Amino acid sequence: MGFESTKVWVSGTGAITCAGNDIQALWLSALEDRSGIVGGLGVVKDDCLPEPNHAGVGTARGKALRMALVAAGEAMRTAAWDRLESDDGLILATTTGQIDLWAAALIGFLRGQTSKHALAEVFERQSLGAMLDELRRALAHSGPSSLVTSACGASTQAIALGAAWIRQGRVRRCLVGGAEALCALTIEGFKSLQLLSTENSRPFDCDRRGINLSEGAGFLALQGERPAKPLAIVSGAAMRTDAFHMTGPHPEGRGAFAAISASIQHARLKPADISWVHAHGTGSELNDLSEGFALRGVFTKNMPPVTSTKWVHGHALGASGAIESVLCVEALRRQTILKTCGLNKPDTRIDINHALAVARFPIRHILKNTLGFGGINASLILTHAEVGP
Amino acid sequence: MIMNLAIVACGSASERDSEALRLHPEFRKATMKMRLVCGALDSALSLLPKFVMGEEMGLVLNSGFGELDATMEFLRTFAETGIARPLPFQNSLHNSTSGFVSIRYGIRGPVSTVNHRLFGGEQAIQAAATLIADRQCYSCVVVSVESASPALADENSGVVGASALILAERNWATEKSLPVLTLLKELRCVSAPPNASGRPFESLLEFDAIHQIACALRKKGSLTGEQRIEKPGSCTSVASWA
Repeated sequence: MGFESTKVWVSGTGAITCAGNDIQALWLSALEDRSGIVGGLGVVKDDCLPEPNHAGVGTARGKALRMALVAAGEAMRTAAWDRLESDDGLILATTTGQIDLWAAALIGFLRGQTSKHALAEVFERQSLGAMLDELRRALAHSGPSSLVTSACGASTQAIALGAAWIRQGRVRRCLVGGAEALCALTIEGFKSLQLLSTENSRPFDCDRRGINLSEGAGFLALQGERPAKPLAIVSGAAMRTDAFHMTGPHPEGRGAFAAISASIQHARLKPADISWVHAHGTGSELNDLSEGFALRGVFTKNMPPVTSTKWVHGHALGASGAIESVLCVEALRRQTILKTCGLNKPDTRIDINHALAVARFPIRHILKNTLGFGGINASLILTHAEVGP
Repeated sequence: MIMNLAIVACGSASERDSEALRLHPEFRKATMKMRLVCGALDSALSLLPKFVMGEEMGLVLNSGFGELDATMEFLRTFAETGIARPLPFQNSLHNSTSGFVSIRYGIRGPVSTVNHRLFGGEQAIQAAATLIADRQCYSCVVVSVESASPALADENSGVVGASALILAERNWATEKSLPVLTLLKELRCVSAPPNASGRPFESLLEFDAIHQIACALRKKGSLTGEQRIEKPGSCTSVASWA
């Protein structure tokens, strides 16, 4: 398949997670082996978020939206964007949106404790698109927008779409990211699939116990014109699908292999050009094996170091791709790779080059990989600002 | 947004089509929305010569309510019994419909799910156009599916159903000997798209862009000029045909 040539610059980033309220704090947590996971879950403290009833808006805001506002604000500040213009895009990714604002009323209605009239008052926010509308209002955005809800690959897909909008001239700049709040639906649902660990997750470790669900938001400011202080370049992206199972990845990583290979081609690179892989690495056995197969298939004998940072910040589902892309941008900027915390006894079935220590070396291109329920696979290539494709 | 995309097939499915699939073994674990989308896609594919979907084909699905019925079933069971059931959880994910459809049809290109109560159809078409222009795929199914939740809807609950369009890069369609029903030149939202509709429990499928385009194509066979897609609250989008 063919390629587009316009560069897409990353001019700003922002993140809020259980391991830090901004990028600096998150990076230091990852660098210094500090985890935000408590009892198997990664919760963002409410006191570092804006008030639910923000002055001038008049409507209650769910936690996901409030986290999105923090991360989007940080991304815009670092990009030196004062505001969004009518030719700027906004793409938001989430899987449960503002479920905290309506799920309790729905359960009350199902139990006969809440009237339909009372439910109607909060139910306008059920649509995930309602969260995008509220974010647009809060940021006074009037340009093209979209909401992507493709499970754990959602915000990686959103970044890929945002980059494509810029390359295709649909927008001049694009604020893109994901936000996810913990809720009973996801916690109990993942428990029912026997995927959760009450201990910290241990990606790629043979003693792994499962994943840590978490909440948070990550945003990137993308633009077609070279910024004064470029942070990185989105040089390639690809999305492929397993078409295999509703919740389990393909056992040999068929879709992940296709997405990773296509993203490297999209960036006009070869596998040997990749300096570091930031893996999805949730710490579930099926994910780890599938992703390991895919990476081995792509990189064969020239395997770059591979890291999962889920031990630090957990798995924020639809927001995870954006949060981890923010870490990749930091890695490019600081020319430093992170290690896989929690990895003590690598699973010998996974034949990859684990990053077991923080290291500094010339990092040119990073592969960010994600997998998701529904067989979603999405991969990005992030490139050092002074290299370029 | 300028597109220049070929529409090579369209199809729709109603509640009755969904019921007809209910007892089929392949749909044993499927939700009504999954059956509706497959019904619409079967109807669209019946117009085309057989071709393998694979990595060249993408899918963008739009649904405002998503799999809300499965979410309700999950939450109701959990609230009443304290037991979390895996199947309703799996089916409650907003992208579970597109996951099911990708497996059934072997769609291995980009698969994405978008959501907006009033402009979801437009977002799905625009996302598909972006994916095709970015060479992530050469052809893309766009589908809107909606039904009001049975527990919440009243007698005026809107249209239940799904509509699908198969979009393709024009040269690719010709190479594959696919019929070009019409060329979508541009799709633009004329008014600001507020999400609130004042009808929180109703299906808004009748106002959906994919549904209205599929209906118009079935009625007229081909489209020229412009098509206005009217929505509640004076919201409008306009599709331009080559």
